[in-house]
Amino acid sequence: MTRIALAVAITAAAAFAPPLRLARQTPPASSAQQAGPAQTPKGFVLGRVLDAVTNRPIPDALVTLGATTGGRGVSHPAESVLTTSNGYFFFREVGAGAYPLTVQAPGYLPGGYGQRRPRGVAAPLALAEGERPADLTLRLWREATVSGMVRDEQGDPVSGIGVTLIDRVQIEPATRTSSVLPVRLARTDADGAYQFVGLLPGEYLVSIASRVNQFPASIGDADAAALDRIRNSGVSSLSSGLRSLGPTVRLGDQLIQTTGEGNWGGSNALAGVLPMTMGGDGAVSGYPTLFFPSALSPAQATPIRLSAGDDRRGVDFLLKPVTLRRVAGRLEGPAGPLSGFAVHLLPVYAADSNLERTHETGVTITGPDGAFAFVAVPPGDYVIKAWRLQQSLVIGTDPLPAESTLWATQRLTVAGQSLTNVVVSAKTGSTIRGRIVLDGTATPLQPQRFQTILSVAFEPPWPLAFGARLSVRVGASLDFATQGLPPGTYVPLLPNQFNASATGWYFESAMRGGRDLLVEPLLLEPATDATDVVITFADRRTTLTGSVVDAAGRPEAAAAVVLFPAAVGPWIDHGLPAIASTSIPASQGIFTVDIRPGDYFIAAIDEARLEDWRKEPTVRALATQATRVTIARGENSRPGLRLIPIRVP
Amino acid sequence: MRISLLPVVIASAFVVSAVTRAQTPVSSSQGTASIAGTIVAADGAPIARAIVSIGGPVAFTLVTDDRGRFDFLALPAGQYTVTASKTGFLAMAYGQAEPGRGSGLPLDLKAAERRADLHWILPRAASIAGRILDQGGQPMRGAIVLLQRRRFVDGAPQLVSCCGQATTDSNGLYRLRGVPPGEYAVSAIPPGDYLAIPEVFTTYGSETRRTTDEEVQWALRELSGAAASRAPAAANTRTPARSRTVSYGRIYYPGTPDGDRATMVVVRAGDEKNGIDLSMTLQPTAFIRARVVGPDGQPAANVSLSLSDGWSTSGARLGADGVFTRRNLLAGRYTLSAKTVPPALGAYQVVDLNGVDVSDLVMTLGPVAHISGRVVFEGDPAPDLTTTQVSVLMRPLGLTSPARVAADGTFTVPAVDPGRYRLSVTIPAASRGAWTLKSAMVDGRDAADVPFEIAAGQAIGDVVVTLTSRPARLSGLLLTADGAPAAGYYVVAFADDPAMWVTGGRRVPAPARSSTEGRYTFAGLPPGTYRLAALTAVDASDLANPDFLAALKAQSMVVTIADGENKVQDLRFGR
Repeated sequence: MTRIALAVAITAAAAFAPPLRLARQTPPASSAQQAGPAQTPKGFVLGRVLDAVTNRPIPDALVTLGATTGGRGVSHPAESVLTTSNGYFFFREVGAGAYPLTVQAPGYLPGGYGQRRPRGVAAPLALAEGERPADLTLRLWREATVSGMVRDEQGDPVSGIGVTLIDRVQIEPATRTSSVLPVRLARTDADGAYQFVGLLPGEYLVSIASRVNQFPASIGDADAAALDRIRNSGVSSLSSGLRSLGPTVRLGDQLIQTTGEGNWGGSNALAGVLPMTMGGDGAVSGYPTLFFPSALSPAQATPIRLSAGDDRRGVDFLLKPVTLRRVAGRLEGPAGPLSGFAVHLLPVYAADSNLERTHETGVTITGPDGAFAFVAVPPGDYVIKAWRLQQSLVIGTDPLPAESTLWATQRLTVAGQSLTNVVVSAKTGSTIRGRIVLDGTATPLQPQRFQTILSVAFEPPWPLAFGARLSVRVGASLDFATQGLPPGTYVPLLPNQFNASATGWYFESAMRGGRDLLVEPLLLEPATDATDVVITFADRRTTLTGSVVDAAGRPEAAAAVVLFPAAVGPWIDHGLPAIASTSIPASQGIFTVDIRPGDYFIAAIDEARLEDWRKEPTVRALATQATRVTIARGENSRPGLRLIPIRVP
Repeated sequence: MRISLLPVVIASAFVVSAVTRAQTPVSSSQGTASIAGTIVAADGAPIARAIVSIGGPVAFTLVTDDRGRFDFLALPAGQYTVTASKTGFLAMAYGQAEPGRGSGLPLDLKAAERRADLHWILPRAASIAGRILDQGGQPMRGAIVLLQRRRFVDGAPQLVSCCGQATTDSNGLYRLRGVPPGEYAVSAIPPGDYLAIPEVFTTYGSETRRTTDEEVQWALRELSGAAASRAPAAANTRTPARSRTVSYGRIYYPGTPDGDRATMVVVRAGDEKNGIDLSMTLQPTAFIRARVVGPDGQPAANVSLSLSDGWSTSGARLGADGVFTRRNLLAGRYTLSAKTVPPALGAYQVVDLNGVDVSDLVMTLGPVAHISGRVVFEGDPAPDLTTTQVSVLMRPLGLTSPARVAADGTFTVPAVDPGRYRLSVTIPAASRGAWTLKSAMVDGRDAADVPFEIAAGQAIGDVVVTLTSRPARLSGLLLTADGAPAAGYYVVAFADDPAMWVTGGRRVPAPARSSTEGRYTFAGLPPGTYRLAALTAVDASDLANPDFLAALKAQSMVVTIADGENKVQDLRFGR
């Protein structure tokens, strides 16, 4: 392995040109300089849209020049044009500014100015007054598609069921970049055919997820009050099927819902389209969750590898019924049986991952004596999870519920026999507590504003119970607390951390016992509250600006900038939490990144490596070559910071 | 089509006469009756895994076994209908003559009775398929293909949606399955993320134009001239004109934006209609710029303005200049309604847009029309209006919001756009069973059934809306001339006064199918004079046709229902 270039540390500031003063063509001399707001801008944008592979022009592509993001207010409203038969587009009277320039065309992935690869990122088009860029080219890559047929064991098409497509990058913790569900849902048509369109190159899993929503028949027969109890039982809205009974099929002592698709494809429609059947001996047969081609877990699945423009057909499923087992038992709390609790059955591969919400095997409600039953469980390894949470606890000033949250989790294996006496014990949850520090002189905020704007939140380890994020309740003196939580790793999550223009406050840190919780997430232990978390906001925005240059010192825009904690060891030890910042330089190699104060390594790398650099060997290698920077609160310019791209191993 | 329908059905209408009979209440016992049967295809083959639903005192769903059988056990006594469905087939209720028309035969089931002989055929579903191409001849993927059929709405035929929708795949292909027999207008609309869609629903759309070859040539000359002379291009070469703004919109088969000019696609049971292709074309669009001024001619502050194309509405709060702009609007009729906040003044304007910009529209605020009155409760004590939220609303809803009834029973609809309206009420679900609308009197006429007119600036007061806890009910037995129960006929009730034959009105209820014991029931009827007739086949949609009702009237009998009356009226066929 050879490493070519080394990063150059901070150099003298003198040579640096301020951003956005760019001129590829000399603007008209005197008239442009005098051009006030009343005059029509002289600049225009002429360009072409080309197929990135064939270089052929793309006619009838829709090119949109967005509203300017720089300058004083919007000087140019968004405008769209369709390209000519030779792929040309033209915008007139365009003044100085930084413009988003995007393009879409049938059969192609959406694209934009500065994009260099199908999964690449676009950059704004920076124009000086009167500028008329020549040779402007937008390149588009063809979209990939995946399609197939779903049939049952008799060869009949299965229509109206959900097929899920999972972006493999996003279910691997090392490459995951967000807590957004990495799943797309298609539905088979009347001929059993499905299709996913508009896909980026990458590796995908295709799955048909079977979920069974079941109720004890005693609840289904009961009155409206009983249904209200179910709705109020703290069942997460993500298991929407449990919120009302809907049409059901009776299977022994249970009612099985036949509609009520999950939001994300966990599909008990399968139970309606291809119903489970009960033989004379009471044995139930039905269809298990499948991953293409016929695997029972993601690990055994065959990934679909797509290049730009691939039209992958024949991703077909043949659904075969298997003998399903019954898993029945009782949910016990500290004070006896728990009734009206939602009980979830999750495959081991989905538990605690963001497949929890899409690949749940079954959900039910405990009866009056705490009894529960899953009537249709394929053989496999499972985790049972049960909880009851106060769901309305997101925004507002309601106090935290007095009743402690109870949670339960238990592993079990279903093989050749039904399990009839599973006792699941629920325990009291632990809470995360702490305080919010507003370090600065900006106008202090009302406590509830932290929930609506600054979103003091944690990424919870139980996605099914909480969704992607768990909000905390902020008290009058800026103390905060969560409700009782199951044990696990909680990552502070502040999605709008730098978008504080409305409040004047910027997220700075989440610390506990001298540890940075963004580098070393909080490990919540059973029966032990985490009490001394300090979340600090400052009243100044902190940004870092610099430039990327090549070995000869010329601007280098074809790179990306990555910024990661100087505490590389702890960061790696905790699984590289997603706190690193990245940035794409605009024209002239200039980049700006919003950042919280602290010690960092910064490096420029090949833009194509943005998706896979966050792995231990890569980070260790980068750390030996990167530039170390200490960023103070409120810093907003480091004009001498010049980076030469590093070859990433 | 609507003409030919008439004689067929009327030929089998029966003139009925009244029979007097003592009412026998239906007693119910718990869970000892049962209904079983078999679902088959037209060739007699059993349909396995069909979904069978039973509705009545209890509701259940079952799935047929491999021999097409189902068995509902432990049913309480009462009246039931049974419906079966299966992908690839048309849903049919037991005793239904035609898919998509009429209703199932209600089965009267006594305690411990077993009906094990239900056996019916599901016809194969028809399909409509084709390809959607965009302006450039490329497949338009994600386009939404819709079916509409002609139905009478307030006495006039209109296209109304039905029968689901399909989305085109990446080759632009679509297939609509499960289409019931009928005549359909097929149309397509572009997907929401497609190129150039109109700015009706959003405020963030952008105008879309075609880049012209003249623009490109001009720009290339400018660039090469600048490069050659190293000086700015001569300022006197004029920029070529911009092309018209364009957008995709709805296109009907075989290729018209006008639904009235669509070629209807005729579908019979089991048909596979292929090749119903459409080419979507970019249509010229225009913008509307309206300036709202106060009575003094000055720009009005605190004004909200709504724009509606009849299907969807978008609105905006106007800035200090009082200017409202919407771009990329397709040809069509748009209504603009400006109101101050709170709505003391208003202005209303209808604009017919046809590819020509409207930039000089001035809307001058004047008094707004409003309606006020009170709600009266009859029967049980009135509910507490501070906790029970009752609202009065105008139909069609248009741009007027419902008005909440105050604690003392009064209400005011503060700002009504000019037009023809009926009045209705909304009642919380919990109270819906307890209270029904009896009447809404405006100037001595019941506006719950008959539309009234309101002009700009007009004030209508003293409206009395009456809710009753004792709605009238009409039920009875349908008997043959010999006095035997006549099962499976459609009993039709409709207002004697043709002015009340309005779509969605309360006085032309859906037909009631006579049950196995000959029972029929209409619940929740407002008091009044009605016509009754019995037919062998009719669909609720036929009753929207005033010609049909007029012809039926001649073969009907009169029945008058008093306020809150539980009228039992047996009917006997004439000899």
